[in-house]
This record gives sequence, C-alpha cells and structure tokens, in this order.
Amino acid sequence: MNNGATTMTPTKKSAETNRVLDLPEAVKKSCVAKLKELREAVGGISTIGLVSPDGFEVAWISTATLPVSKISALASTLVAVAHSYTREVGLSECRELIIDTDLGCSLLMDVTVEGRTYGLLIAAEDTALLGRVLSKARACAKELKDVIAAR
Amino acid sequence: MSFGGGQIEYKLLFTGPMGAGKTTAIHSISEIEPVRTEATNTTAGGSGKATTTVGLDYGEISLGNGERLRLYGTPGQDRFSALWEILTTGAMGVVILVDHSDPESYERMEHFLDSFAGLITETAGVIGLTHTEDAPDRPMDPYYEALAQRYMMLPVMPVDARSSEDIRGLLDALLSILESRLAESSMDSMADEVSGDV
Repeated sequence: MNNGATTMTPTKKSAETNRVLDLPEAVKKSCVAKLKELREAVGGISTIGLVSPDGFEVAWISTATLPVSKISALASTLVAVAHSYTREVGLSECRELIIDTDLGCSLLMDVTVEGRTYGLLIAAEDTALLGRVLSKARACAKELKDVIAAR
Repeated sequence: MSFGGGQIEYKLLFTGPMGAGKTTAIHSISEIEPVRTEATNTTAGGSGKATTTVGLDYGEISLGNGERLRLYGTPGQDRFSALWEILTTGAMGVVILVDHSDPESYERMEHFLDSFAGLITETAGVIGLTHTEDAPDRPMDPYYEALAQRYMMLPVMPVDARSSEDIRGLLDALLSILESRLAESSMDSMADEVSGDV
C-alpha cells in the first residue's frame, strides 16, 4: 500500500494554457476593482481572488508572494467538492466555505453566473473580524455576479 | 486496504490526461451513484471537452467474498497535481487511461507513468487505451517501448470507457498483478524464515 510518501509532481509542462476564454479583459479589470474595494473595506485581508470554474485565476490581489495558479486550482477543487458533499448529505448547493486556522481564516464563496460556478476566495489574518469579512464578501460576490453577467 | 463493517475494501486510482475517459469509466462500473466534481472547461488547451473534473470521481464495486473496490478518479490536468498526491494515499494500484487517438498520446502516457512512478512501483498499474477505433493505424509499439525504458511491465489494453465489461477487464488485470505480487511477497517471507531457521 502506498502511504502517501511519494511526491506526485508533474514531470514536464503540459499542453495546458493559462487562458480563461470566457471573460473579456475589461470584465476582469472590473472584477479586480471590486476585489480592491473589498480589501479596502475590511482590514486584515491578505489575499483575495476570483477563480474560474476549472481553477484559473480571473482576478487576484495579494500582499504575499503565493503560488497563484496552484491556489486557484485548489480553490476550484474545494468549491466543487463542497458542492458534491452538501448534495450527498441532502442539502442544496454549497454557498460558502469557511476554513479556520490558527493564523487566520479563508473563505470560499460561490459566484454562480449562468450555470458557471466561479469561486471568490479570501484569506484573512487572525486580526480580521470574521463577521465583517463575511458580510462584505457576500456583497462583493453579488457585485461580481453582476459584473460577469453584464459582460 | 480497510476492514470497515467486516468488508475488505481496496482503494484503486484512475488517472490519465483530460478527456481519456476516467469519469466515464468509473460511472460505467460503479454500483453506487458516482460522485462527480465536474466544472465548466474554460481552457483552450486539452481535449475541448465542455466539462472537466476539478476534484475527484468516486465509485464502488463489489468483487464477491465480501470484498469491495473503492474507485477514485483524479483530475487530468497538471494544475490539480496536489490532488494526485492526496488521492494516491492508501491506493493499492492505479489504472492509467490514455486517449489513443490523441496525437500526443505516447507523451501523455509517459507523463503519467513518470508522475505516478512511485505508486506504480510500490503497488501495481495497468494502461487502458481509449478511442482506439478512431486511430486504428496508430502503432502501439511506442507505449511498450516507453514502458520498457522504465523497466515497467504493465499490461496495455484497448478499452471502451463506456463498457463496464472492458473496465472490469482492466481491473481484473490489475488485481491479478496485485495477487501475484502478494504471493511473491509471501514466498520471500517464507524463504527468509527458512534461512533464519538454518
């Protein structure tokens, strides 16, 4: 049995392209503007991003140097798995996922537009007030839906 | 392997590039409603599929004698390789599916052989070639050459991912390899005991 010690690393660059085809540049810029507004409205947010349904970054702001493509892929995985999980336990689609850690929290929010589930991800330091982050993030998610829907 | 509720359960992994048929294969043989985590595919690369797996596929089948297989399908794109490592934990073997009609099928198989080399070496693996009917003249030799270069003796079988019979055939081959390895391991242990007694 494999005990997980093996490192699974892609051995060479694949033919994947890092292009999100369905959102024009102007829409992406509008999304970045919305993310900036959220970061300025709430203290303690270190990273905030919008990812496509299949895990590509659409808009991204961070105070830290992070592996953006990897985090975007994982965020879309978490959103998809959460959707699947809530359906299996007899609930409806997952709207939000809150991940709490000793150093802060991360939120993942569903931004579904015309059947496509984008993900709003936020990482906040432990100084951030979760209630305020949630409240403002929900408003931001709604605005992002409007921006994408109006493209 | 686990022994939940008196049943012996094995975990097997389905992997391979996007569009090879992993989700379809698990769907075709699972005895439960499979878990799927597909999302809209927005990329220009890959197979041009409308959707792609971004989390995992999950299904189960029974083998008789109280044994069950838990089938986990990985995402096919490298961006999700963090999931590959997570899903590999505890796996008893791996099925690599490759679209034979893909002009880069040889390279893609090599890529997955190398990426999952640790699991293949520690457990067992089989290669399933899908869409062979779409490229009947495309040679098979490069697959065998790539395996030989890596000293890997894995069966290479043409399959239709939609056919439960074909996918069960792949799993039978994988389980046969696992059984023979277990038998070899038992023989080695017995030989060690005998030499220890002497």
